Amino acid sequence: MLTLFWTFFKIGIMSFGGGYACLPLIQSNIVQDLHWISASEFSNLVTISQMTPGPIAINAATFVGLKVGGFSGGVIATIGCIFPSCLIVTILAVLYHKYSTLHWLDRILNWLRPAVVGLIAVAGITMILPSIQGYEHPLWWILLFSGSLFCFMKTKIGPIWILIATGVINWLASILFF
Amino acid sequence: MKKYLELFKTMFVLSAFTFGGGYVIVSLMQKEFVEKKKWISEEEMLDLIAIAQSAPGPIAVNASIAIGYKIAKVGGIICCVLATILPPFLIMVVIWYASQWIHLPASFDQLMKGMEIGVCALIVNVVYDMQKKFDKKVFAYIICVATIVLTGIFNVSIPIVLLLWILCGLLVRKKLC
Repeated sequence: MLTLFWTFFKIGIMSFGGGYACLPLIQSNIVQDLHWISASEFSNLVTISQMTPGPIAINAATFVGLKVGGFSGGVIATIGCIFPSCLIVTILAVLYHKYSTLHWLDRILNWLRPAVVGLIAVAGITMILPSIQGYEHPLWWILLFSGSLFCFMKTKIGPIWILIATGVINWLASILFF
Repeated sequence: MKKYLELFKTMFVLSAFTFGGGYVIVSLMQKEFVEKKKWISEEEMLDLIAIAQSAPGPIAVNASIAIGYKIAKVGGIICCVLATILPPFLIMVVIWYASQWIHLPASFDQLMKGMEIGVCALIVNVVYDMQKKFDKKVFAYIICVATIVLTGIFNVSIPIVLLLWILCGLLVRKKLC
């Protein structure tokens, strides 16, 4: 159990950049060194992670924890995985609130703010390209995309409802028309 | 107490319905906390995302910690972290115990594909809203585009790019914007 916590603690602290950054770490630590899950279980894990909500690191920690130590294993691995984040981000958040009036911090943030927008744009592009390429009906894709974009920009409907609606509309359309 | 509940509820719903990477949930958080609830200003939100991005660990968890602290200090952190990890944790537990006998219909795939299209639109919308805050400053657009080129085209790792901008911020004393 301690090894489980420690292993995911290490994965948590080393996965800079979020998301897919933790996958190679899990592969080398858990699949190759510790043999807790097999290579095919690992690929199942990635598929399940993509189909379920939440960060891949959390999905992976819960999955491996359950496999190794049942329910309590799942809890321990998940806590181990987020523990480093909790410590580091709390410290950074406290520092930010204490010193956000300082000039040097303000200068840094002036550079970082537009960079964050750029990062989100890249994340968007890397989602849009495979999504439209993997879709059988590009025109329908553009229609749904424009429709939901319009809803996000011009209406006050909650974003989650818009997402669910696009999902359901696409599902119905696939049954009725395609 | 009411604020904690509200915070927990909002984060829980966001986390439970967020498929895809960390930036999806960050975009949704921006919509909820900046635009709808107005608990955080747009500028602060960008700073909090920068903090979440420069620390190790899942962005969704990091962002929820930073936002939780901003809204309700340590109690807010506990609230937000629990609300963020409980949905994926519980869903994983259910899948684990049910995987033997549940088989999803093939059409379920189309539901996911549709939501993926919605997520694309969401991110475009959030980027559009955020760049308005640049106030037509050329400097901000240059950094933004440079970040896109470095990480998107040259595959430079994100912490390195952020570190570069931090160094620039420390070294360039002239007020550029």
